[in-house]
Order: sequence, then structure tokens, then C-alpha cells
Amino acid sequence: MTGGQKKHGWDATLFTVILLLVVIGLVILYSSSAYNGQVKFQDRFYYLKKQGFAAFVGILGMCIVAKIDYHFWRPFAISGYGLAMLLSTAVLFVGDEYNGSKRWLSFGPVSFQPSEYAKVAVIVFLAYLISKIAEKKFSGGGGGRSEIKLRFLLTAMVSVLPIVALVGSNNLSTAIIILGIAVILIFVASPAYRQFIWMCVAGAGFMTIFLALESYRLERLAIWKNPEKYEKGYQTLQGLYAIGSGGLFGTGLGNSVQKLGFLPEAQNDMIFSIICEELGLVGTILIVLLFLILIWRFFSIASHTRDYFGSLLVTGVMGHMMIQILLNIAVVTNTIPNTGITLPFISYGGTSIVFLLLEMGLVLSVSSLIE
Amino acid sequence: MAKSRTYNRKKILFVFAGFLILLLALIGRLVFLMIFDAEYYQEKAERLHEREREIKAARGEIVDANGVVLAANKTVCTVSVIHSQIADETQVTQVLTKELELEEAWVRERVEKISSMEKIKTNVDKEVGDRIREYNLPGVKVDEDYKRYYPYNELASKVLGFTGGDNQGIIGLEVKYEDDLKGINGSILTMTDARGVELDEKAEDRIEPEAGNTLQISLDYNIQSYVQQAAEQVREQKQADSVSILMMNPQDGSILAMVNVPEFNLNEPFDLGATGTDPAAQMTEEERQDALNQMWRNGCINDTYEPGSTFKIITSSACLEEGVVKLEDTFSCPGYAIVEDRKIRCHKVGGHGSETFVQGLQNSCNPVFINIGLRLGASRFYDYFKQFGLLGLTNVDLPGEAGTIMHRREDIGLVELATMTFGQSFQITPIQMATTVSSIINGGRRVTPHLGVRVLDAEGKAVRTFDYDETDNIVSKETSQTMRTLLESVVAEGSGKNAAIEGYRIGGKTATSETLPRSQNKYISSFIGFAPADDPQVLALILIHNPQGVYYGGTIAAPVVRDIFDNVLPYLGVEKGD
Repeated sequence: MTGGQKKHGWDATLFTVILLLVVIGLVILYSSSAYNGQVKFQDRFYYLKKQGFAAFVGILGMCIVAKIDYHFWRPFAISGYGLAMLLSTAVLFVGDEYNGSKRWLSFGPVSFQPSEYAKVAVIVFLAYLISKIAEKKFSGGGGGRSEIKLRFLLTAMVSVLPIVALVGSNNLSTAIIILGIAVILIFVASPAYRQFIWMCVAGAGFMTIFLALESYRLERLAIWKNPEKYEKGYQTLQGLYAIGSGGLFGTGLGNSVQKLGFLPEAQNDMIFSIICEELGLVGTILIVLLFLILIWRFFSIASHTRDYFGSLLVTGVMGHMMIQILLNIAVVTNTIPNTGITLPFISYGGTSIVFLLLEMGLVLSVSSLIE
Repeated sequence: MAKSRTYNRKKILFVFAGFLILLLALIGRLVFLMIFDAEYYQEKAERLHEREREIKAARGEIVDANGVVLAANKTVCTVSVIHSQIADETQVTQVLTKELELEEAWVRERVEKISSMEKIKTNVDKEVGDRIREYNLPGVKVDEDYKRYYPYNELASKVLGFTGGDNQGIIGLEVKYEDDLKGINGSILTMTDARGVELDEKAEDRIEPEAGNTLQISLDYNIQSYVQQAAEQVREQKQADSVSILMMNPQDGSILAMVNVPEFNLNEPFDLGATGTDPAAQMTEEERQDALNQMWRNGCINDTYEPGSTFKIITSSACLEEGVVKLEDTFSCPGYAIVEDRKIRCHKVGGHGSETFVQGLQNSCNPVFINIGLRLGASRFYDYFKQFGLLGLTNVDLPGEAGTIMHRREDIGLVELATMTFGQSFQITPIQMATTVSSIINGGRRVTPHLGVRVLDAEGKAVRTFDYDETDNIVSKETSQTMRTLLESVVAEGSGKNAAIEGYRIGGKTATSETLPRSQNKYISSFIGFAPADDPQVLALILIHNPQGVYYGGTIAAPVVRDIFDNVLPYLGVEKGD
């Protein structure tokens, strides 16, 4: 199976960018969480310690995964996906609530967010499924191109819907990300373009109905248009104050005032606005540039990997990162209505950073096996 | 194994390009927010972060004619705790309990209360505040502030007035000269976190306060204290309700002393003390406020009374000016006068018999004044009343001056006219009485009684000197001269003899007015005197409200003025003649 591929080093640029992002992420996390840690836990380092530990575990995991040939995971794709379903179901019943959402499973002292794992599981599962379908098509032939496409689209799409529904029942944002990853993977795998336009139209129609069904979702739209008029627009507005306060060069690292309780939970979803406030437009663009380099490396690796499974894996991870980066920045700048999406590597969240780094491990593994 | 194909790469490129476009759009949005909208959001954020703390401006002082400070400022401290910054609750509680002399449980409750800032005590002495500061306890804040302070407690309380919690004048000169005294408050803009806790490392914007200007008044501390003592003495001796004494310079209207005993302690203006015989706790809020207002009243200005016989000065002046009476005119007093159907009694039951006008004034004989009043006629009497300025206000520079209570011109019948000639059936304020008599004896210039002399800046330079209106020729110089001579004879030979001092030429007139309702048999004994009689430098009016026992003005009021003149005239540099 691995014939013709020979091992060489990891993608050095990618590896450097990842480490840079993790370190910068920890610095920014400390800056934005020190006040909240002090107020809530009388420990300025509370959040940094937890995140630092998770990052350490994640980097360790990343290196291990990167060393292992990614084909090793193929046989586990289906069972891994099954496990994601299981955990996502379990969290509905025995999950821990935090900030009004049941999203955590506790194993002793370690708590864990199944939805973060679900993203990885879906990427591996879809990469496996699509490459499998493609193999069949090439080995068995049979049927016209359009027939394959139809089956192809339907099977892949339908197979991820259960997890989207499960995760979406208490975490709409993650469900959207998973759906987005699926759409990108299928788009890349399919030679067609036109169908996707129809899919976009259908998706937009679905969203409209979905939003109209529940008035609180429409309220979100109203808040989005006019955050100053609504009490619930508070977070958004505070984020905008932070961004605006940054100006060209920012107030300097550690000098944000908005993080001092004005912007609630500054270390979470809205951390990007603290970056803007402290580092200014210039610093923010530099960080966005790091993300861009990251995506560019994914793009490059995905395009240069001859192995379809590997290419799809990287494409999935790339899709995942793209969606989170775009949605997070869009939410923080109030470009789209508020929905809780974290900024990869920087926002607080142990499970998130561990699984992100494991994904990076997968990509590094693919990069080391490019012909 | 499946291989990636060309269209896959094209699709990945397509996705990447899509991402790039969206990311660029978001960067555009960021540029928009952070460059073009920055000012808007920065301003909003700053308003959110900044807390403005006011720095009270030091209120200007009030100093007497010689620069003695009558109203000053004292630095006091406000001690508060900021819960989130407290390191050791037990220690903070202990220290504050000890230093501020408070109940421990009460302090602990406040120390343990979770709030952004909790005031423990205000108006703490600076020394105590400094001591607390030296403990260097985190979370304990000692803020300095100015508080009005009156070094002489009760001295001239109703004249000076006092200020409220926000250092704003409430009564007296403190209100009248508010604009000069108050200064301009400054402010400290501090950055705080969402809980309102100040951020130490953030720069403070500070706008310095501007202290108020000093007000110099004509009141003389020495005279005022002496007069106050004299008033207290006579009040005690005569068990009187209250005693008011007013001293002014009749030449320019400047007030040298204004005493209304009982005075109250300006440093504790809300303490009813002995004035409230009921325990304050049993009073309703309204009753309490009434009692306070009563305590704060300046009788010389806020209250009116029937002047009684002292008003004969004014009747005399009007009749002499009009020429309806001459000094040599003789009258006969049978002990009463009949006006229309009324029999109006003279105070001397048996009557004064035959007497000249001069003797009539010396005897304070009512029938003489009824007689000359009727000669003058109601309409002319009213004209003089008006000409002397008795209908209007004196415009003294104190708040709440009461107006004259007077008949309408068309309502003055013969009986009313008769009673008015000896100072009954209408009411004026003591300040009005003193001012009108001053104007009659100073050569006929109606002066404006006043306290404010000038406004000084911090260096003691005059910023503003007050000018007061004068109206010339309310009586002729000749009449004025005659009145001085007549009134001197009242003290030298007549009813005012108890005010006489060997070596000084003193003029004056006594009065004993019965207050309304007459059935209560309450009296106001009064005396108005001036010296030297040939060139008056000082005029004094004393009112003793409801004295017990002997209540004749000549007996109890005149000696007080004599005593005051005996001490004040040498102090003012008025030398004894031969």
C-alpha cells in the first residue's frame, strides 16, 4: 500500500508555524485570562496552567501521530466515527453543564468535550469513505460518471448527518463546522461545480427556514444588526469596543482594559478582540498571516500528496481550520451573527487544543510521506 | 490505492482561493473597525472604563473686618474599603474598629460585604485618617476632603450660616455669597475594571480644583463676641425667649455685629440640643425640620415686630420735616387721647400734664404723638413712611429678609394713624428699624445695611469691592440734626437715661411693645441708641423678646446698650468728650 513513498522530514514550515501559534496562543491566553483567573480562582495563572498542560499533551500527541504512518488510522475510521457518535450521545445524558451548555464528559479529573473529538473522527471517516468509494470506482468501473457522483454525494453526506444532528442538538456551532468540513471534502472529491451551487442555494433556503422556526434565532439576527440596542448584544459590543480601542498599534501586550471584566470570558470565543486591542491592526494582521501560512501549507501538502486518502485528510483538516478561523473572526467583528466558535490554538479550551494538535500530527505525517 | 487526480487539486485550489478572498474581506472589515471606526469605539470604551471622582474645591473663607477667620475649611477623611483588594479581613476589621471607634460587628459586616466600595466613615479627622493610612492595609482607602469648619462654633451663627454635605451654603452669608465662596470642583478620571476597581498602572487625568475666594465682611469678631455675651447675659437675667442685637455704622450701613441668642453651633447645625425640649427622636421629620428652621432663623432679618415707641423717632422726623410741629409747641397729656370713639392710653396713667414737644419725646408720651400725627394726616404720614424706605426691603445681603406689614394707604383711618404714630398696628423687621433710624440721624442718607465688604483672592488681593446704594435727602440735614439733638436729650434727660455714659454723647429711644395677641401679655423690650450723638459712628438696636418681670425697654434694654457702648466705643476709637 505504501509502495513508492519514502519517508522524509516533516514539513518544517508547518511545524514551525504550529509551534509559533501554540506559544503565541499561550501568551495571549495568559494576557486575556489573568484577570478572570484572579477574580474567579485567585490565581492569575489558572487558565494558563490548564491550557499549558493541554498544549503540552497535544504537542506530545502531535509528535507521536506525526511519526506514525497515517494509513495506520484507516482501519479505525469507522469505529472511530462510531465512538464519536457514542460519546456525543453520552454527553447528552451524563454531560457536565458549564455556562448553560451540556458539552463536557468527565473522566476523573479530566473533562473532555466529545464534539472536539467528533471533528477529527469525521475528517478521518470521510477521508476513508471517499477514498474507498473512489477505489471501488477505479477497480470496479461500472456506471456513468454522473451515477457515481450521485451515489458518492448521497452516501458521504448522509453518513455524517447523524453526528451533525447529535452534536447540533446542544452545540450548533460545532455541527455547522462538521457539516462545513463534509461539504468541503465532498466538493473537493467531486469533479462537478454546478451541483454545489444548487447545494449552496438549498443550504441557504434551509438556513432561512431553520432560523425562522425559532424566534430566538431571529433575535440573534436583530442583535447582529444593532448590538447596541439589545442587552444580549453586550458581548458583541464589548468585543467591538476592544477591537476599536486597538487602533493601528494596539495598547500593548497585557494592556487591554476590556479583558478586565468588561468583555465576559475574554479568554474564550472573543479572544481575537483582545488581540486586536493589545496588538493593534499590525499585530493582528501578523497573527492572521500565521494562520494564512498554516492554511497555505495545508493547501500545498494536500495538493502534492498523490495518495487520495492522505490528500483528503489534509483537505479535511484545512477545511476545519478555515471554517473556524473565518467564522471566529467574522463573529468577533460582528460581520455575522454571534455563534460560539473558538479561535484555533488561541482560545481557551483543553480538548480543542489537544485534538487540533493531533490533527496537525496527521497533517505532518502526510507531509512526511509526500513522494 | 486511489490516487489524487488533477481535478482534486483544482478543487483544493478553488477552496484555498475562496478562503483567501473571505479572509481578505475580514481583514478589510478589521481595517475598517480599527482605523475608521476606532475613534468611535475608543471613545465609548473610555467612557465605560473611566470613573470620574470629584475633588471638592476648598470653599473660600469668611473673614471679619480685621481678617479674623470666621468660616474656614478643615481637611477631613472618608474611609472606605474595597472588598476585592482586602488581603486580611480580620486585621482590617480590627484596625478600623480601633481607630474609628466603631462597633466591631458593624465594621466586620461592611468589610465582609461584597461590593465594589463600601464607605466606613466620613468626616474622619485628618490625624486619624493619616494613622489609618500608615497601616498600609490593602483594600482600605482614605480619601481627603474639605469640610466647612467654624472656629468659633456659635459666633454669628445665623449671620454666617453653614453648608451642607456637598459644601453648598444652606443659610446666611454662605448662601448669599455662594458664587464667590464655592470655587470650582476638580475631578480625577481614573480607569477602572468592570467591577469599578481602580487600575493603579493606568494614568489618571486630573483636573485641579479651584479654591473659592475669601469673603471679607464688616462684622467685627471682637464686637460680635462682646455683644453676644451681653445678649446672653440679659437673656439669662430676664429669662427672655430670645435677644437680638444689631450694631451698624449709620454712616454707611455696614453691620458691625448681629446677634440673635440663642445662637446655634455652626459645626453641628442639625443638633437641636437644648432648643428641642422634646427628645429629637420623638419628633416627626416635619416637626424636626420646623424646629431646625426655627433654630436657624435670624430674628433681625427674618422676623417682623411692632417697633413701638422707638418708632416715635420716625414720626418726629416726618412731622418736623413737614413743619407741622415745632420743638417749642406745648401739649397737654391727661393720660389718654380720644381718637374718634377710641380712648388711647398713655403709658403714664396719670398723664404727663403740660409738656413741650421735646419733653413729649423724652417722656415718650403717646398723646403728643397722636396729636402731631393727626396734624400730619394719614396720607402725608404714608408718604413719609414710603420716603423713609419703610415700605420696601433694606436689601441687606442676607437671605430671607421679611417685608413690612403695613396698612394700605386707603385703609388708614384716624385710629390706625394714631396707633401708627407710636409704632403699633404695623410690623417691620429690626434691620429695617435700625436702617431707617441710621438714615435719619446720618444727615438723611438712606443706606443699605450690609455685611459683605470685599472678595479677596488666595493672595489676599481684592477681586471685587462691593458698592451699596444710597438715597440722599430722605430728610433734610436740619431735621437730621434736630433729631440727633432730640434723641441725645432722651438719653440725657428722658426715658433713655439708663443708656447714658459719662463722657459720651449718646442718643437713643426706648420702646416696650406688646406682642400679638395682646391677651398673652408678652412684651418686646427694645432700645435703639447711637453715639456719638453729634456725629454718629455706631448705632445699636436691642430687642428682648418676652422678658420675665420688669419689661420696660428703658429699664432692661437701655442698660445693655450702655454696657456695650462703654466697651465698644473705646475699641472703635471714639474718644470721650469733656
